[in-house]
Amino acid sequence: MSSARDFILGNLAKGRSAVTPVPDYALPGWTYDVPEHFIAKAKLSVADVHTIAAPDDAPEAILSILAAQGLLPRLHLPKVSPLNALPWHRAPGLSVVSEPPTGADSAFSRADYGIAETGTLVFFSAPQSASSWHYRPGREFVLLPRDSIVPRLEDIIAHVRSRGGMPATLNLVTGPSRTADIEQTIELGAHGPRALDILIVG
Amino acid sequence: MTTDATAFPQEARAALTNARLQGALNHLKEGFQVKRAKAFDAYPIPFESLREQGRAIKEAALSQLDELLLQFEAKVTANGGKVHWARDAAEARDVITRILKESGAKTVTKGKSMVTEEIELNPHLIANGLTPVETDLGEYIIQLRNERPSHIVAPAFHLRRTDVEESFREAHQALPSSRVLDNRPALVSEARGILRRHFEAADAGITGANFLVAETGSAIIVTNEGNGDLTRLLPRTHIVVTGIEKVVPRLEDVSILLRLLTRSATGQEITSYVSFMSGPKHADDADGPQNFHVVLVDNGRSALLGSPVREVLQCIRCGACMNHCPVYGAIGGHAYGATYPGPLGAALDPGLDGLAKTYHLPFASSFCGRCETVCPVKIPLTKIMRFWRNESFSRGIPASSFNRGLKLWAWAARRPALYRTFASLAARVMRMIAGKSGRVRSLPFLTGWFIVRDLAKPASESFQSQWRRRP
Repeated sequence: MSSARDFILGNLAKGRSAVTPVPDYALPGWTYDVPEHFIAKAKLSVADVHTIAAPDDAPEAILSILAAQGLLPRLHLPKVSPLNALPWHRAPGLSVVSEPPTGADSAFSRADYGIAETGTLVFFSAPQSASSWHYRPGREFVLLPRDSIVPRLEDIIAHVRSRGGMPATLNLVTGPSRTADIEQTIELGAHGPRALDILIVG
Repeated sequence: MTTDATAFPQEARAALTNARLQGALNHLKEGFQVKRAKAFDAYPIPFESLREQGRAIKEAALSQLDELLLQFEAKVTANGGKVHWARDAAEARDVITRILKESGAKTVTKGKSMVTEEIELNPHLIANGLTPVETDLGEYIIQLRNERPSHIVAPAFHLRRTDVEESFREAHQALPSSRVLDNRPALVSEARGILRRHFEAADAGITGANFLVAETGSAIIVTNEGNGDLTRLLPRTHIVVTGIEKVVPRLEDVSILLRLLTRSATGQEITSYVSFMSGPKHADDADGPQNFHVVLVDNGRSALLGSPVREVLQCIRCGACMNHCPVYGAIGGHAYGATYPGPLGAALDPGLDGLAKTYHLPFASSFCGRCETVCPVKIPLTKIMRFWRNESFSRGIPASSFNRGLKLWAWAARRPALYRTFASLAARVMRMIAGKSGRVRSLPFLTGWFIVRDLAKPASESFQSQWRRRP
């Protein structure tokens, strides 16, 4: 295989030109209220945005959203998730299960960050955070602390640098899954969630 | 489906009278052009300054492509993955098949990847006893129909809902034949159910990459469906197959290019999903693939770097050039007979597949230049098409009456006295043919021109001879 590598690198060396420096980008200054802009953009992405006072209010909020949608009062939460420590007894009738969700189930996770520019949730793969669970359920609930919302993707990149590099998987999620592959008309829920509920804390 | 664009004129003519295709092409304006324009209008950075940044990033990346690929390889390796290099399509297919066999894979899910179309991966996998399943809805539909994508972003763009229903009924025979499939949600939901089983059963997943980042060893995919992520995250092995020109130096470069890509492609500020994949799962991660491979495919690209068409390697595959091209808009993607249709294809396909198979494509343009005004990385597409036209003429590909006629004209044009004599003779003949009607409606050897046009009767005296008589 080294011969293919040598061949390609050899050709590229022949095609080399004087190295052009990448210019520094001039992004305009950020002038919006960060969380409010996030909320407006997330809503445009067809996510539902709810505000709760504290993480402990999440169980009741989730149960009432499920009830309002006429959905089964059952929530998938990976065993490793710190969200298991929330006071689930405050939402009687809501069963919390740990097996991976199917495309019809509801699941719950916590976002590491929000990006205001696009209303995007940011998830780093980690021992307590199952990346595939953002794509498997039919409905995803996401807890997002208000002070974890940053203006732009560039702010996430700065964080990646300061934490010493990329996780194995970094997922940006903006609204539910969608497709326009049939007659250029958008349908929600192609493979991932059909609905996304963001619970902003604080 | 091997590239062969030699029948382009006949295919283009057939496309013009294909009612189904023409119906789909009517969506180009509303579906792509209007959404794109709105998305850039709404953004605080003007399109011209944003795309100048995009161009500068890609130019800088190409100016140090070998260094960046080496840096990328070192980072992926340090992250626990493996990088493979493939000179051409055959080598890429062999590398991928070997990885799959060594990992004991039988079933393979695939995210959308134009490079795997380019290297004709699926037939090769099937011939090797593997079962590839396309999971992007558009790709899945055309896989069932054994067609090739007609658009690089919307592969099933040319089909109607009823075509999809027909394909699903034929392919999903285990489902009750009485089920209702006469609406889009029902079709999307059926594909979701079928493909979910494939995701869960797959031994390996193959995706493309929209960008590679040298500094972190990351492959980035941009999707709306989430199929690319299920393709990466559920199986044991994840293989990224991509072109060598996709690498950029830093994460910030991706951030700028993303703003250009999604607005240019679908008019979105960002797609539902953007994923940075930098290696196999860490030992204690909750999930993710255990094995991570990146196959860097050359297939003619490295030879273009030092060539006059170098800038075509800046392409980020948004599809805006084809969405705005009057030729693509009239004939769709299949008529091109090559992996990449539209202005991008006319500029790139001759470089990847050779002029002998693609010489018609650089001529599939009126040089209106709309493709260049929307290109998010400022590729001089008409300049590149003009280069290929020159190449095709000077290399005598094809040896056609068109080229012979052009040579004859060039010979005469360099002899002014002779040229004037012929021109005035031709004008006299045309005046005779036009007669009293004042229009020329047919001439020998030029039947094509007169199908939809005529010519005005020439003046009785040429401009040059009037000029000579001036007082």
